[in-house]
Amino acid sequence: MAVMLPLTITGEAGAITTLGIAGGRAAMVGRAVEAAVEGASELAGPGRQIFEAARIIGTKGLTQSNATAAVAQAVTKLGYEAGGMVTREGVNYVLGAAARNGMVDAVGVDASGATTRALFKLGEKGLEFVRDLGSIAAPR
Amino acid sequence: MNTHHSGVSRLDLYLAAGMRPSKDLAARLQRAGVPQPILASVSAAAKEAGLGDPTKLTRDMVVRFFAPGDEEESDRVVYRSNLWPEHRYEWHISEWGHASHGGFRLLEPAELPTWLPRELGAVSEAVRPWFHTANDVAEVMGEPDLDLSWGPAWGWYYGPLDDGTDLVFDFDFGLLREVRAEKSAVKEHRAGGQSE
Repeated sequence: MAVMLPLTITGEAGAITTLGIAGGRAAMVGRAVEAAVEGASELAGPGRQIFEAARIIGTKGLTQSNATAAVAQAVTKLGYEAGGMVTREGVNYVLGAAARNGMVDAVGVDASGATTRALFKLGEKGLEFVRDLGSIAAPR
Repeated sequence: MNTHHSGVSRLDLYLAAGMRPSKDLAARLQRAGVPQPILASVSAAAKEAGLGDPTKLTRDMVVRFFAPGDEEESDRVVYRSNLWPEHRYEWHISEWGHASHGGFRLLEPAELPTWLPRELGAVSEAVRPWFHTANDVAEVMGEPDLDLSWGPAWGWYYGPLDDGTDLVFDFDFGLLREVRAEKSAVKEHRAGGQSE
């Protein structure tokens, strides 16, 4: 699977712009997760599983944490495991469950809901940030 | 080799469980008499043993779960495979003791040209899915222009080619499953101002 980001999930359910007001909106959060999964799955053909949406964005509130969970669940729904989550400089990073040659792939979700890809290294101090791989526009 | 089910090692079952479905994998499992449910149970056991957390995985955990390697060096643990008898599987061990996937490697050197043009036809004739590995591809093609791997699914992109596509090498745990051309992600990536 190539996880191509940024991830765009639009619509009422996929909302993050109003931060901090998602409390008590479990149903909406659930729909957002579903939207993330559906949005990713629609674009994930057999053997070519691709997330192609630009950001989890919308008009109603989801917290950064909710958006992070949505990304993690989308990954899982696509048949891959997430290997936990770390936070660095205000960005939540969902880690791949399998490291490769000492490197760990990650998807970052910042406070605005924008997503990015990143690479971490398993180093002397544990998980060390290597670089931001940036976002990739969805092919049309 | 630590056999676990029908003479298939626990590592083989774990790798099979983590691969995307394919005819090749289904045929290998059928020949070995491995029922699908056993894969889920091995996968669950691996998670229970901590193999799903890349930040905590160590050599000891790998050896404890899969048995001692057929070869062990300071920087790797290597297992022979009976589900993929032409290959071995390597776990990379960092100098800090972290274990991570090194991927499939051919037991015998690959018969590949030392260089190939970045053309789908030429590459498709030279490389063989379910046989050649990421290591073989890297030796011929060099490092990818863009690496969009996620967990066991490794996606290497070379491009952009003249027709606006990339050559994409798609691997499961480093074992080539497909090479194809598709609209250039490398170009999009560079246009976004990001560097690999």
